[in-house]
Amino acid sequence: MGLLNAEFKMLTGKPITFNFPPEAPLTDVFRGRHILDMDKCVGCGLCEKICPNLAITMVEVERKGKKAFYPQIDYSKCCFCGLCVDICPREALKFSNFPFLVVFNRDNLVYSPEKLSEPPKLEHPTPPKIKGIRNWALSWSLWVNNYFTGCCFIEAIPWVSSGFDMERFGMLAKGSPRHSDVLLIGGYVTVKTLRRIIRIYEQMPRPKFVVTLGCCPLNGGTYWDSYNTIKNLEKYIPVDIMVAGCPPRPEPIGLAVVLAMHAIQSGYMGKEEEVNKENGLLNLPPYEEEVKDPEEYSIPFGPQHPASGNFDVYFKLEGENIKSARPNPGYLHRGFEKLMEYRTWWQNIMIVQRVCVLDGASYELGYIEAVEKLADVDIPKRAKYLRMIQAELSRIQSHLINLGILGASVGFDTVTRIAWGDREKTLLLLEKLTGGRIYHVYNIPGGVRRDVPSNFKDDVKETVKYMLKRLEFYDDLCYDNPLFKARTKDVGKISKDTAIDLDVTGPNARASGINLDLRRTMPYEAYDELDFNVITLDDGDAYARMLCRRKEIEESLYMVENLVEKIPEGKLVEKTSRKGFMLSPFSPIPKGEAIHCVESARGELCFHLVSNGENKPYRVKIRGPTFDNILVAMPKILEGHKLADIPVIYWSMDNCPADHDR
Amino acid sequence: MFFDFEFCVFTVVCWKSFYLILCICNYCLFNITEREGVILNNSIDILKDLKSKFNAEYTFQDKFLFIKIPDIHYYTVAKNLKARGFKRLLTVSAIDWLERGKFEVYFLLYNPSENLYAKVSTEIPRKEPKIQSLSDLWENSAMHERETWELFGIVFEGNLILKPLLLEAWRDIPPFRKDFNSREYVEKVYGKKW
Repeated sequence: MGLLNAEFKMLTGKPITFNFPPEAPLTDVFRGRHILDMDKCVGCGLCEKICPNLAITMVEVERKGKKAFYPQIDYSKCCFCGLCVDICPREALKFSNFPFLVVFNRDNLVYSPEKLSEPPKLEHPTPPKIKGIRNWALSWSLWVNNYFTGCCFIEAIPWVSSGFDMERFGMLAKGSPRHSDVLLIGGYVTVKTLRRIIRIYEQMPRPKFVVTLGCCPLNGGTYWDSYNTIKNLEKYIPVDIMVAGCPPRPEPIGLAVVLAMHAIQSGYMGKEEEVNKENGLLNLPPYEEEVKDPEEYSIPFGPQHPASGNFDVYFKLEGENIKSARPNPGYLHRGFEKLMEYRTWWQNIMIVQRVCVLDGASYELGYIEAVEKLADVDIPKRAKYLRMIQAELSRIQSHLINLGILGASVGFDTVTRIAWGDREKTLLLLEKLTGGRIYHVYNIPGGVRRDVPSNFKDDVKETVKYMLKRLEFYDDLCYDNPLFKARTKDVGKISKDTAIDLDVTGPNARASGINLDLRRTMPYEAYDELDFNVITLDDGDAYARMLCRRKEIEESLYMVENLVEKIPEGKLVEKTSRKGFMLSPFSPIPKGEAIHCVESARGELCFHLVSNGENKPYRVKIRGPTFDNILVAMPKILEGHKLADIPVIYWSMDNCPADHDR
Repeated sequence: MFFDFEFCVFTVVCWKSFYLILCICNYCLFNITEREGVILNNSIDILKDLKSKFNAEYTFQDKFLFIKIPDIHYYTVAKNLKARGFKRLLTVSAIDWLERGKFEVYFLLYNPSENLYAKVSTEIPRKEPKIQSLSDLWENSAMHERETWELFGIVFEGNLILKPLLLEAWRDIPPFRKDFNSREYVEKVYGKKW
């Protein structure tokens, strides 16, 4: 009955798809391309000094008969963190909300001071004269190979969902490289990933097109000094279209699609195929056959699997049953803890949320609070409340992503499309609050960067009302759906003792009856003033873990509604510590060490910071929740299950490969 | 506030020059005694034991215990703490103190019944670093030790899975050591302009 009800609602309800060209839900506060006011700029060079990505260089420009220094920004490196805008003493450098930075050549992304001072304008591409039926047919049936390379893939997700809906362009996400035309590189490429990408590229039929998202594959981007990521993908395989941004919004990706279609219609058939393997260094390592018993055989799962993420597990099978599993992570290893040792305490606030793209807010919060512990700062109450709103909204969107992926892994794509479509509403709220959709860069040591927008309260209330209604609809559609239950119930059971032994945390532990929520046991920020329930369930199977997340979404919605009502008055940032020294972008932090743990969407997240008394951390240790959840616990839980249950168990434990690889 | 004010009146009247020092000293003392009270009530036995039997030093911040022990007691202290209710192991990791020529190896534990964290650390020489593995006490420590082995080059004796985890075909020295410079490595491999 519930299913029929859901069906009726879907047929009669208003569609959640945006029109195209997007009547974008683009807000004014979004951090897009900069605008430079050349009259105000004095050429002090502070922006160049603070930029963590070396995107800004001061160049000499002759203007009104005088020579002076002005900033030049390379958007193939910029990560739109806004540290330069914050530090500019004369407010010469500002953000516009213009996100469209799509180019065919990397050099076009270097913006000279003159170009920066012009207000941005989007030129809608004009359709070309179509050259032959083959080009027309190809342009309307681009199949995209889905390989989750890096974090920018998160903005390709809206295109799969009903929010932006790529199928109206005839595009399809395809798991097999032999059937796809487009290779989508979503973000940074590590050496380990590059070996797989080259293999995929070689397998694709001609004509093939390569699209890169974000700055990292263009010019190193955020991870320009990482020992394990490559700096320029064009050195290894040809790239056709580049979309800059960190991560780019879905709208520029749409523009890139339209541009690509036009190019193909006017006769463009991709660059000449050319692969540089650096004299065999980038060949795939030989696969070690571990199986000796002729009765059993082994199969790899991932990294090029629709349900694996950029993560790999080798299974030993006996018939259809899993005998043992061996995880093989590292496809997203950037050496975060090393990178953070090179950046100042302040510069690290823009890199730290990039550890895990799915729930960046928790990482921001964990790091900043650990720094505040070291510096001994008393945070204003208003900032505490705003941080909690950000963290809870981020939790909601992370759980919705998980619901979507779980839907896909049980073969129920409707849930995927709808859950990811609804996630846009939460992202819109986050954008209004912080100025960023995915990476908010909202917290700074001592407080937050922006105040609440004027009509934020009404927006939150509206969204909460909408989402609560949608949760009921999800109940009808999947949680009470007998087929869905049959697929997930009694699958991947974790007992209470196993969960404690293997250090399972987060919703996975709470679904096994462990009452562990750091928001309750170790209240940080102002969680002790907030009334909320810790969701615990007893079954410990995949269904219980899903249901736990669904209930947490509901709880978080109530919390956000509550928090918005109660935001106290006061200042946003506390700039002096209790010991009396000033917190500023270049200031050192006293000697010592601090550990701080927060409850992220996936479980317990700890930051251990060691300070040497300098303006950079001496050592940072990030203890991500998925390291134990996935690398240690999941292989144990998978043992004895059927092959077809792998994606269900895997995603019911909610992995973020970027988190355990770091 | 009241505490500070009282001393203020006292010092202004009689001994102006020592005002600052006295205030700071008393403030510190006041803070420390208050914090000690909270922790010691909970696990006084553990700390006493650690100090007398294993020669341990400890400090604390709220609910976090920082314990330093000599490296010969590394395994025994871990076993002891597990028996005392520290059921969960959160991580095993290391810090490279290059100037002192030491590696600090540490693990982080959590005691659910007392809601208490403990960071237990020990120092081992930087040359041929090795220490006993905790993998027979906590199952998940094997994976954390594997990561530390790969990134720092510290050998955990008794760990059966010390194989490359995150890096594939890595040729240089372990990357998290302080004498490995990531920026120089990038310049060497990818050139100055890429």
